[in-house]
Amino acid sequence: MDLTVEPDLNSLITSSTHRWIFVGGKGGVGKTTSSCSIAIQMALAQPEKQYLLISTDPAHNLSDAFGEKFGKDARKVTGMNNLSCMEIDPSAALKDMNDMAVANNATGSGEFSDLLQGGALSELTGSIPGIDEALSFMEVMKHIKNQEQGEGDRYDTVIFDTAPTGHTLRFLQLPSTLSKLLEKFGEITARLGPMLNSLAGANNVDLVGKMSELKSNVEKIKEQFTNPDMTTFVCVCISEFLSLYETERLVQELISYDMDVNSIIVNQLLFAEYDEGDSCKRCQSRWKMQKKYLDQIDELYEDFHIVKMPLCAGEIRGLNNLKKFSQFLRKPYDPVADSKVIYELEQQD
Amino acid sequence: MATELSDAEKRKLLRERRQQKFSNGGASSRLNKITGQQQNSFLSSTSVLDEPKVTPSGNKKSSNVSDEEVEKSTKEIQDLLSSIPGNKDNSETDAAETNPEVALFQQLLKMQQQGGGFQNGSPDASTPDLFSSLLNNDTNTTASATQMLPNFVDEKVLKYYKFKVSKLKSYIILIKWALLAPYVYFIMHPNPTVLQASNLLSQIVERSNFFSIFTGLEIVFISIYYQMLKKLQRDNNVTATQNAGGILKYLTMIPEGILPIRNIQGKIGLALEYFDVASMYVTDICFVLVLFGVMKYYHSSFPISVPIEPPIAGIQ
Repeated sequence: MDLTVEPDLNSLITSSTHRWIFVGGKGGVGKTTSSCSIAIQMALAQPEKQYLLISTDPAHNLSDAFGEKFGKDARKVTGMNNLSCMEIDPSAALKDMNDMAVANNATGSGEFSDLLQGGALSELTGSIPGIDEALSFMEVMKHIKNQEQGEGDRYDTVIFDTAPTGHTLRFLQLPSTLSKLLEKFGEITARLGPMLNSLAGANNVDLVGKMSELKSNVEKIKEQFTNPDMTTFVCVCISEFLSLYETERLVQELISYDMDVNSIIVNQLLFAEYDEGDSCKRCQSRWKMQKKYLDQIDELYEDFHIVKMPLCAGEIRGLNNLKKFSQFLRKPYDPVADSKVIYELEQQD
Repeated sequence: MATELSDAEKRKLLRERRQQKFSNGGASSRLNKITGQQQNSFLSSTSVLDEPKVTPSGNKKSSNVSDEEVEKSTKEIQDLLSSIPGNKDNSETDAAETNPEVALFQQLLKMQQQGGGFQNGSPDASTPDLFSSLLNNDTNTTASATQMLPNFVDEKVLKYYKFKVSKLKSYIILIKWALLAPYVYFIMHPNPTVLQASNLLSQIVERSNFFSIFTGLEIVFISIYYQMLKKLQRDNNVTATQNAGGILKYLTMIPEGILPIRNIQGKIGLALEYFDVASMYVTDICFVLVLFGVMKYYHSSFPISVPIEPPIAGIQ
């Protein structure tokens, strides 16, 4: 029985079942580069499908990684017909909500409209902790709704370029927390349903109906997130002590949420022993340290797809550079044969 | 002959193999392996997978909750509760299972710890939030954790308080009825000659004075009960509104300002307290009425024969 695990992401990139792919890890390990690489390779491997790359990190990097501006609405990457990107921007989303509230109240009593005119709602809610995660979650719900109703843009797979570990875990716990809250709320509304509806009745809002709809959507997301055929998490790390520790914690947390995690991308490897010409003493020493942790990674994650990615000579920015770099997700990097690629990256102005 | 596995089967097998490696303390051992690489590492090697579960849905107990100080502070009250007959809900686990708010609170607390990064569970300074603010109010995080569990402690205290109130009420009623029963006996007696020896006693057993004496007795006992109730509330730090039932819970959901009466919760809480006291008075009236019936029946069925005094000589 052959249970060896390939050191690449071919099975994920060519997967036809995955709908949600999360890419996460400690800050500064190359999450954005990795998520862009996965999205590009998936889009190239299955051109008939539509992919969406969403950045949920409050400090967005997607626009810089591709070298073009993305906003809160999905926009296709120039040069790729089946890959779109968007950056979730809490302040912009909340401003929209504020404007909508102003518009809705314009016909009613002027006092509330006046209160919201200066963007009070967005200012008030913008500082709420966890608002980024909540908005990302709303985005997920929107896509599920679109998928079901056939409205708006439909995407076969959504790839999340997530925020550093803590934020991401908070986001991933939202379905179960919300589910619990709504369950509790359901108990109350079962008793007070008519009263609550009569309170909200002035604006013709079916509060109980809305809540049960939200609950069913949350349950659906929870179910999809824990289905290993539909959702997976790709951990990104570098070969260093703290990064390895945080990756292990992340993997364990994800397992505790019943989420599938089977791939680890180890970024910024030096492969210094294969360097041509004068070898840099600092690089050699750092590579020695990296090798120590790489051995440990190999031992700890023998049942995971461990993809070893090289540290490139230049910045990996722009679609062409990302395409060159991302090829190593499908074909493992060979320090001898592929070494020239790491010096080939185009300089972005 | 080697069997060929499909991709799905292979994925499933690998998944099971991975989960097996993280189970039965394996997760902590893996973390230990990593932290063992570094000398003087302060990183925790206790895995979330090895923490005891508090709910059947798989939510883990917060590490802060299991803190020694919290355990110590709650142990005393738990011991008290365990001594209360019929009280089964005396464990932390049960509290979370029976009270979804507790489980939810613990989950939110855990999310906060994760949100703040892993290093020593310290909050992420770049993203201050509600829990961080609460923690920052007190330099001692352990003490804060204790403070952050008021629901858990209040729930126990409330149960204990309710038990004490029931006990107090029972004693007061028992003493009152123990006094009222003989009093009604003499009031209903057709010929209470024994008590007529004293003027005061004869005044007491006078039927026309019954209502005044009964009401006086009620006022004394209700005052004693009310004072002792207030003392209990002070001792247990429980307010009347906390102890009130469903009506107040629903009232708390109505935002202030919607109803024309200000502080309606406080007013209704006070009214409920008066109702409790008034109900004691009504109960006593009912008891006395029943006693009247019983005594009337008793005296008519078993009349006490009055001794006939011998005729005085000379009068005949």
